[in-house]
Amino acid sequence: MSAARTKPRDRILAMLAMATVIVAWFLGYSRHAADLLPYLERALPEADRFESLSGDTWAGWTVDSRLAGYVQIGAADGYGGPLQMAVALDTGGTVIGITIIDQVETPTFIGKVLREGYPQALLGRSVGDPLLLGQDVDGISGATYTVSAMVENVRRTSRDIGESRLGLKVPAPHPRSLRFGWPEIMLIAMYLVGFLNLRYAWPGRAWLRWLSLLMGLVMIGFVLNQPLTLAFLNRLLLGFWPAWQEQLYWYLLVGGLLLFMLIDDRNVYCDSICPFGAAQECVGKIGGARRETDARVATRLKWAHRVLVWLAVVTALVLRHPSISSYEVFGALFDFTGSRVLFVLLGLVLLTSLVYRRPWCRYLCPITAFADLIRFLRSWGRDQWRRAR
Amino acid sequence: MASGEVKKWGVRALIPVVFLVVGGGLVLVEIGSNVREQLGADGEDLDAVLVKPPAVSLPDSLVESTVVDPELGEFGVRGK
Repeated sequence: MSAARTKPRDRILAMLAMATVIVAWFLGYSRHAADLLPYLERALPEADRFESLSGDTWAGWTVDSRLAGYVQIGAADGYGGPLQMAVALDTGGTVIGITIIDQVETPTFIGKVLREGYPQALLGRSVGDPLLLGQDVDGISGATYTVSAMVENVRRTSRDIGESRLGLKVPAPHPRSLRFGWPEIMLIAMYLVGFLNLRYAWPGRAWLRWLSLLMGLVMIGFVLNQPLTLAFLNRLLLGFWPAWQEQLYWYLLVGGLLLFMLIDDRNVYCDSICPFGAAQECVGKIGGARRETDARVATRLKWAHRVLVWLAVVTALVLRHPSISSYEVFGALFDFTGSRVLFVLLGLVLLTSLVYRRPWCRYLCPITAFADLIRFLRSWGRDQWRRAR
Repeated sequence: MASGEVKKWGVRALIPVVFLVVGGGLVLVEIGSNVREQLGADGEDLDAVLVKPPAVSLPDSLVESTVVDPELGEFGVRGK
C-alpha cells in the first residue's frame, strides 16, 4: 500500500478500522470491574467478615472475632498482561490461600501452569522464603512469565503483610534489574544486520538473509519460543505495558519492527528474523514453493486477511484480554503446545508452504497486517506533510 | 474467481483462496473457542474455572481442610 496507490477507499477502511478499535477499547474498559469480596472469601474462607486496612489489604475475622489472617490483592506482569491475585497469610506469616482474580494469559499456557500445580504449589511458603524462580521455586518451560508473575505476586504481598501487619523480619526486596543478556544482544544484531542487508545490495545478500532466518528459527523459535505475536501488540494497545527493564526483549522486538518501517519502510522482522517465516521458507525449499497469484485475487484476499486480524484485535480489546484472540501457531511448532485446532492449522500452513511461498505471512499473520497498517499510515502522513508544505 | 483467471494461473491460483478459507475458518474456531472458555456458555465470567487448581500435593501436616465452592465444586486445599 504505497503512497502512490493510497486510494480513498483504503483511507476510509483504515480510518474505520482504527475507529472501531478505539470504540472496542472503551467498551472493554467500561465493562471491566471486579467485585473483590468473593475472591477474598476464597483466599481466606475461615474469615466471616473482612475489614479493609488499606486500598489492597484486608484483615479477615472469624465468627468469634478472632483474627483469621490477612489478604492482600497484588498484580504482577505475566505474558499477556497483569496477573492479579489475592494472597492470604495466617498470623504466623505463612501463605494459606491464593486465588487468581484476573489473568489475561494465553489459555493454553495458563492451563499448562495450572496442571503443573500453580499457584497452589506456593501454599505453605513463609514470608522469609526467598521465593525466587530457579532457586526455591521451579519454573515451567514455555510459561516462565506466567509462573514468574504468580511467584512475584506471592513474594510481594506476603512480605508486605509480614512486615507491615505482622511485624516480621522479611528479606530485603530485590531491586528491579535490567534483563539484558544474549537474547537482547542477538535481537539488536539481527535487526541491524537485517536492515543493512535489505538496504544495500551486495553479492552475499541472499546468503546472509538465510543465515539470519535460520538463526531466528533456531534461537527465537526453538530455543526462546518468543516470536512477535498478536498477544503482545494487543497488550500494548490495552495499556498493559510491562516494565521495560524486565521485558526489554519484547520492546526491542516491536521497536525494531516499527523503527525500520518508519525510517525506511522496510519490514526487517518479517523478511529476515521471523522464525515462522523461516520455517515456511525451509519447507518451501523442499517443495519448490512459488508465489504466483492473480493481482486482483491477491488484493481481495489481503482484505479478507485484514478483516480477520481486525476481528481478533477488536475481540481482545472488548474482552480486555490480549491473548484471547491469539491464533498464532508458533507454540504448536516451537513448543509443541497448543489446541488441536492450532495443530491442524499448523499442518495446513506447512503443507501449503510446500507449494506456495509463505502462505501464513501473506494471508493469516497478524504481524503482516499490522505492518501494512504502519506502511499505510506512514505513506498517508508523508502525503499530508508534503501537501501542508 | 473467473474461469479465465483459473485457466491463466492454473490450479495454483486456487491455493491461496483455499488456504485463506480453510485457515481463516480454523482461526475463527480457535478464537471462538478461547472466548467461549473465557466467558462461558451463559456469558458468565469463568475466570474462576480457569484457575481451578488440580489436585494439590501438600504435606499432610499442612493440610487443614478442602475448600468447596458451591458452584465450582472442589476448589482447592487450604493449608494450616
